[in-house]
Amino acid sequence: MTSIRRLVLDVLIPLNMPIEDLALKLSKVRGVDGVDILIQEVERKVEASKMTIEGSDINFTAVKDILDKAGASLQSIDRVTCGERIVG
Amino acid sequence: MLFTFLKKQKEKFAFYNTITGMNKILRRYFVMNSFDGALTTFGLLLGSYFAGVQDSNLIIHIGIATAIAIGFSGLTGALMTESAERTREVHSMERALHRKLDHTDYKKAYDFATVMAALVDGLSPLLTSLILLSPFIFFDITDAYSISFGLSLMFFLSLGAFLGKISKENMLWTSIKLLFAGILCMIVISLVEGF
Repeated sequence: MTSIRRLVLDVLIPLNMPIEDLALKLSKVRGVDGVDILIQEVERKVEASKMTIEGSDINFTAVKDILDKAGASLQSIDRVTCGERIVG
Repeated sequence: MLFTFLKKQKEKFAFYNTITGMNKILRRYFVMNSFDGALTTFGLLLGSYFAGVQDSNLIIHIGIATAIAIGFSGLTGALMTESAERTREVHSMERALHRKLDHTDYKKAYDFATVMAALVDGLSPLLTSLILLSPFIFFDITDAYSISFGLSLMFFLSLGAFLGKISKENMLWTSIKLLFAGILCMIVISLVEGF
């Protein structure tokens, strides 16, 4: 079985965008078991966040769609964990 | 079914409000333009009274036309200015995010805020004017004048109280300030019409 088990994403979120709402939407994606959004820096217009998404088989396309629809901007994929066993 | 729909709309409004902070501007537009509508209609009625107009039908026609004009002025004015302001805001955010925001919740929230601002800006003076004109539909012309003037002064007081409530100031004081503005308008009109 090859599946994405964990993703760590660097995402810019518009300021005033309710992150609890975004986290809830991401948590409802098929294959996602948990979401953590950590705001690392607050700038004048945006918030730089680190998103950690864990699950049994994360649907990355759906995750990207939700981020896109919310108006967030995916800057980079900082970490990907795949396979049957979570490494590290 | 209706309850679920209303709950969803309420949630959507709260979500868009978090993004745009539109509540503040809607409140400001509501007070500003209701007062505008009320004072214009008040002036129109005072002018008619001093001119000795004794035809309810005439007052209703002129009043409604004026109310619609103020409503349209508010609607189009707010739509243009808010649209320009919000578009600028979205473009500025696009630069910060390095991406386009078309079809996103963020853009939808700003479009919604623009429409809401235009509606509040247009409907608040229209409704206020219609309320102040309504006695001319239901009462005899002499009573209608008195009731309308009374309604206008009561409206200034309530709007002042509302302002006091949102600014957390003394509601009595803000009510008196707005009432004073209305009375001042009445004095100026009386002086001008007197000559």
